[in-house]
Amino acid sequence: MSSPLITVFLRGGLDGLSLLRPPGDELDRARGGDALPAAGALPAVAGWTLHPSATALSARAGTGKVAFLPASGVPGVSRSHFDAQAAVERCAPTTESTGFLGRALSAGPVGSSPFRGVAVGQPQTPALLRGSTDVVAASSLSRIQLRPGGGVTSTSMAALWRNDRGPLASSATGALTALARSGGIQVPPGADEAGQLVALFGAGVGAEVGVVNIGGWDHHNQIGLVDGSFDRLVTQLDGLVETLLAGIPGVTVLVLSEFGRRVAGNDSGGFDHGRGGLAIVAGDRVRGGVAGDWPGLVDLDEGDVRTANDLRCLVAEVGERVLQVDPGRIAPGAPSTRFGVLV
Amino acid sequence: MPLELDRRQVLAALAACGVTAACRPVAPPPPLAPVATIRPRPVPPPPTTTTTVPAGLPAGLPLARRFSFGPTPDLVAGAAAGVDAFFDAQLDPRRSEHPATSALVLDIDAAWAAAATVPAAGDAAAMGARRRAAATAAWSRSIALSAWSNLQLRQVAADFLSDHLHVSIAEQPSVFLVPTYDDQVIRAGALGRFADLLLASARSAAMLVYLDNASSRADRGRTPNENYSRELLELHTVGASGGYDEADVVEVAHVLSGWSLDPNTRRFVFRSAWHDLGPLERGGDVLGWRPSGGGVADGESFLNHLARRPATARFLCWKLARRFVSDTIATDDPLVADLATTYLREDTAIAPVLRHAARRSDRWGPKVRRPIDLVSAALRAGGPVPTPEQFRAAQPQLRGTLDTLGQLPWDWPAPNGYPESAGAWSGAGAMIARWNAATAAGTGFGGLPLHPGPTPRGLLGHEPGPALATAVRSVRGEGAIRSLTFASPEFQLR
Repeated sequence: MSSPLITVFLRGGLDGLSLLRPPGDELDRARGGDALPAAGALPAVAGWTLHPSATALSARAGTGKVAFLPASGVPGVSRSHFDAQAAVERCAPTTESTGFLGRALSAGPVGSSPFRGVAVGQPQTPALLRGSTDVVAASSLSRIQLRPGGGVTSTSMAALWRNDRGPLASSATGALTALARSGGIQVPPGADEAGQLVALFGAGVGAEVGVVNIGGWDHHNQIGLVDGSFDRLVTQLDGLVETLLAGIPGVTVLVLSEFGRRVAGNDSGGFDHGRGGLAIVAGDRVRGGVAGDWPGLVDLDEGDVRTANDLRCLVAEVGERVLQVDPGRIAPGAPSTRFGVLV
Repeated sequence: MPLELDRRQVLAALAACGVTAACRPVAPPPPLAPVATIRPRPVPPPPTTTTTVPAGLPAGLPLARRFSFGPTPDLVAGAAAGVDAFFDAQLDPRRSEHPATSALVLDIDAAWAAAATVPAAGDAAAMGARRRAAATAAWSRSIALSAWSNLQLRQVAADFLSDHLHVSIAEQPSVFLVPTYDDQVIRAGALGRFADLLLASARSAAMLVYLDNASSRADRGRTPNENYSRELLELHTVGASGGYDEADVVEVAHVLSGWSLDPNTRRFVFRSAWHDLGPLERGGDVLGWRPSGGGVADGESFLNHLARRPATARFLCWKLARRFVSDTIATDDPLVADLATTYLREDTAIAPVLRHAARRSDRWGPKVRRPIDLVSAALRAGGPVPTPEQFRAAQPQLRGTLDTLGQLPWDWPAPNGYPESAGAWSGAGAMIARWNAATAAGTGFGGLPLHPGPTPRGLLGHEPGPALATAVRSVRGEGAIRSLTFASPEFQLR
């Protein structure tokens, strides 16, 4: 039986080295004054430490329920945001147009619920969920209802769109199905994206996977590790992950980004696009620790952390263990390496 | 000493930006301003053109619908006279803006001016208010001009370019610079030469801040900022498969190092003391271009070179074809090659490429209206140009609607601009948002004037299908007739 999975995608390229510090003075030697200060960093696992604003994550890590995969990425992708995001969301050869969550859903009970895969924050379906028709993407889950007044009702829309064969025909069918089934989702007023997902998974409407994005990680300038942009985003991420872990029984939270950032800073007080980044898996089923190989900060790949750990293998493992999906389906072409982060 | 200003000082000055040149809200285009910076030369008709109008649609409707934000009767009549007549009328330098539209945009800009003059140094609440005012001006002037500009061809080109050369209002301090960028760079250059537009964009305060080139310095072994150089190649010109590599990204960052802003005027300044040619100084080329001694002229020469690369022609024309011809057109489609030939022959002029695409209606595939297009079409069909007061009353519902639909103008958070294809704008959640937008538009978003006596025929510009005809017979009230029409399958298409 599968259990809930929420994927948090950090758009723009998380500077993993400023969220999770390797043990000792390795980071200070590589980054000098641009490094996340060791003072004030919070304990994670095995001598690795977390950014001071990741308080809840640090506490969870202390209970052994958070796994970190540094130096991770999809091997061989460019430093382009858009190529790298596509590669991570696809986790498959470039000939494939579907996302790994979409493929996972298409392996399960297709048609059982329109809410099997839900993305909140924007109505564009993320590439992660492509390949499944049981998907709702919405700017807010409180808006899965029709505005009263006027002639637009479920009945009138069903009649108006019944015989349509245009490019939005299946969207209309999906909308009517979602409207018919959304009544149980009680979103508290003002709930943020995590709160909406908690409401969704508590509603018993057949939700299996959720997606939420946090943007703004493209720190080419003034990264703001303390009282700045990075600090605020870590606070936001920490709160979001904690809300999900505390609010959705049995949930596994997978935090991904398209790439890590360059080890050395540029002259704008930021870090340009790099390669090996940081992924995080948290939840009751997680075997905590720092997983994979750590290539260190001396032997670099054109100035970047090496992509020592294949994200596709992590996705395959999450698919197998959390969603009960054949790894060849969720991450076709991925090596058979497993990081052992899930029980 | 201005040359020693660092990144922090430049940005601090910008963040405090009040009554300054770059932040000063801009006047709307003067009513009699030239519409085209160059006159298009006639394009020879392509060999396989057909002018077949899809069965049942009035002549001129498909063209007017695809090259405007909604077919008004006069646009359709103009388009019925043919592609050249339609384009010539839109490009006629004597074509003027509607006075009511000019007044509306002037009011939007004035509201931003008022907010921008509030002293805000160090006051977080005032800064927040100013940021919201800037964002409001940016999306409002964009939606107002889409809906009510008489210069529709300019606006559809500007809409395309607002994605192609995107700057986001979701970030600050760039949000403060977008209204000016929209007016003086994007709209001003939308029908001119792409080479000119690319240079104007590279020198604009908005782009310099958004993609961080303002702080990029390479002197004395410093590491320049790669953000703009990478997106310049990947998004603005040759595209990801344009034949460059990581070393080229670094070299371009050096070529453009020192392209910055004067924090007092918020205008472009070349800081020669920050500039260093880097690896290219020792020889070599970037995409076939070689420097001639460094300095600002090298950067200008490189941008000119980029705009004229065959890879840029193909990439830009492929994107234009996806917008105006078909979602499914491939990069190696012969039509893309034809458009690219026109682009290069016409010295990177945009309007002749649009005209060429308009002539190839034989290749047009179905295009789903993106949200800005959908809302603008409903506004154009629903009522006359509002007064500034009426528009202000509608702003909250308009903003909420566009936001829920996922396309508040200029709000896309990444530099690649809003996605193009129907796949990005469909799905169950998007459809519900479209239906709710139709309900809001049916009653004028809580403030806009509406034409009385609406009919599906009048709102669509053509006869409704049987389902819509049946649906409107079963409802009462003008709002319901409008809403059902706006929510219908036929209204979702361009």
